[in-house]
Amino acid sequence: MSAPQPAPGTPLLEATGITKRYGQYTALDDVDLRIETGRTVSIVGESGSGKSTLARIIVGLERADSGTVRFRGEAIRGRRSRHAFRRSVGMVFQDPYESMDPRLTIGEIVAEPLRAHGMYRDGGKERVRELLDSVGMHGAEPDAYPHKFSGGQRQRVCIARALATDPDLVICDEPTSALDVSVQAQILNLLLDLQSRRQLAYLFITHDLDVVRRISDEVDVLLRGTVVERGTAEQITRSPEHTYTQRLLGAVPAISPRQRHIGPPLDIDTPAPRPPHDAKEDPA
Amino acid sequence: MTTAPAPAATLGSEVTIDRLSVNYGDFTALRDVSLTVPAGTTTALVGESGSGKSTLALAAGRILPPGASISGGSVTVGDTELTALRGKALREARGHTAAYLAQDASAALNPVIRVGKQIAEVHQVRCGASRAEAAELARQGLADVGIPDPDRVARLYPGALSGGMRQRVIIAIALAFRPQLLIADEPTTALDVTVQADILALVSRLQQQCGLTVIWITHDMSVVAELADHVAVLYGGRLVEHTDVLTLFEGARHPYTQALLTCFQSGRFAGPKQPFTTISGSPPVAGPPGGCPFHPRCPQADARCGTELPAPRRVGHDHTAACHRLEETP
Repeated sequence: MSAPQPAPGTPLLEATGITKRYGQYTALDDVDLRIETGRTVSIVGESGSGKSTLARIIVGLERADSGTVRFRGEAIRGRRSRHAFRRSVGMVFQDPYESMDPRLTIGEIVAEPLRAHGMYRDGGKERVRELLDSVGMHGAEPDAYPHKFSGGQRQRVCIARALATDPDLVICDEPTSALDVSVQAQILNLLLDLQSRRQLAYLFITHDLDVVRRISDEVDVLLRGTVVERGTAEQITRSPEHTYTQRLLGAVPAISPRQRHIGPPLDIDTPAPRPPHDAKEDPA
Repeated sequence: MTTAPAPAATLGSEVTIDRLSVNYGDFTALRDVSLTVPAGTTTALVGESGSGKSTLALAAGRILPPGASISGGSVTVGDTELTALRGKALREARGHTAAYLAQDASAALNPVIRVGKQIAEVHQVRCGASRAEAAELARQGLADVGIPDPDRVARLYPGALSGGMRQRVIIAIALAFRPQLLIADEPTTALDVTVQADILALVSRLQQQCGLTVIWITHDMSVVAELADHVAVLYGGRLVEHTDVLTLFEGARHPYTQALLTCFQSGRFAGPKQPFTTISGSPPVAGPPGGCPFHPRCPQADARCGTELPAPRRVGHDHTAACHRLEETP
């Protein structure tokens, strides 16, 4: 794509002063956000914090009451620039069961953005196969319907759809929380792999703080429509400063029964049963 | 606010599940699962989609949907064999013997009845309390589950409550039956992490106060680490491993359990942008394959695993696993 060359140092996406009210209720209050090319920004917060609203405003599914979204330095304003911008941004939703039309084949689902941007006629079919291959759906029949596939495979199809127009930014709204534990890691690996291959930037919305630490460059903590803390993934998850961030991290359940801090105390005096040949003393 | 007095002791009962099988038509969702939950303890049922964990919970509460049937085995809570009950006896046992805590609290509540009344109804039905007595018991029930200002909340409709508050109301309803067994089907999965922590703390407090027996269904190993005394791991409708929580976390023997734990623990410790540890493939969608249900994804599988189903065997004190590759411990 030949976009006009932005000035050096211009972020890929910059949102400033985003405010959104529903009646009396302020969902977002003067929120700023900056995403650089090839980087991942995560937004964490509880339900009602406004994190999904922010994502929806950025892709243009909702209008902000005030504030500006700039892409490569250009303000997105009006139908024309919005349509052009949508070609550069993909979106992956939480539930791969509900975010695709069950009456369309997976080939048609992946082709939808191509058709919307007039990119299908010219080699669209091959492009769809290429996309399915790139998300690890090698040999999947484009004529098959979604119900044939598992949750993880469906989410791969959704990712292929998000990548169809070769975007620079993909917005992921809890893309793994509806998936089985053993499959979540596969999808996260796919997203990491695509990022390094394609220089993708991600805006990642999640409440899983373990995932946040692993995939993010920067983390924004949202509380009731305001960013209360912003920092690198390391800073936020290792030494959070805001009490709310500390509370979020403190609520994450333990990694082992020996480190319980929410549930009933474990009778640790009872040594873990060991195979009889193992006579070593437990140093702990 | 005064500190809520402890709810009357209900004294949970031992739960014995013996060779339980459940079918949806021709499809066997759960096959030959045997499991004992000691009185007053929590057993976590861990599994992914298709593992049969929810089917087991619904069967244990005798609330399987139409079309599903218990095709073999039994569930006994205390001295009541739930699987033998029919008609009125079964209706009475539901709730009293085993109470069920659903994942989606908003769907479990009636949106057009005030929450106080929804709890009070239980007391009226259960022990023939008068309306006034039942209302007072309901208010007490709300206080027991840590709801501030229970008088006000009792008069609200479910829609006016947050997800965490609704889940507390559901817990109050379940406890109003004074059940011997509480079956919790991922009740915190849809909740925020802070609310989840509140609910986990609440259930563990109530459990200690009342000596409840709890079966907690989850796919989240961190919830297991916080709450469980024992853990039963299900895969493809089979029980693949069963032991106490510490042994499971520190000495799991079944390859599936080991892989699950590796995925979970590496998530906490690996560095940024490092690949995540995965289990290749996905859980069986259309019923498990022949042989061991995990063999298509198992790194250790050999020819025998594809044809012959491994039976659960003793691999340590109070520790069983169903895997051909394990040596039996006498």
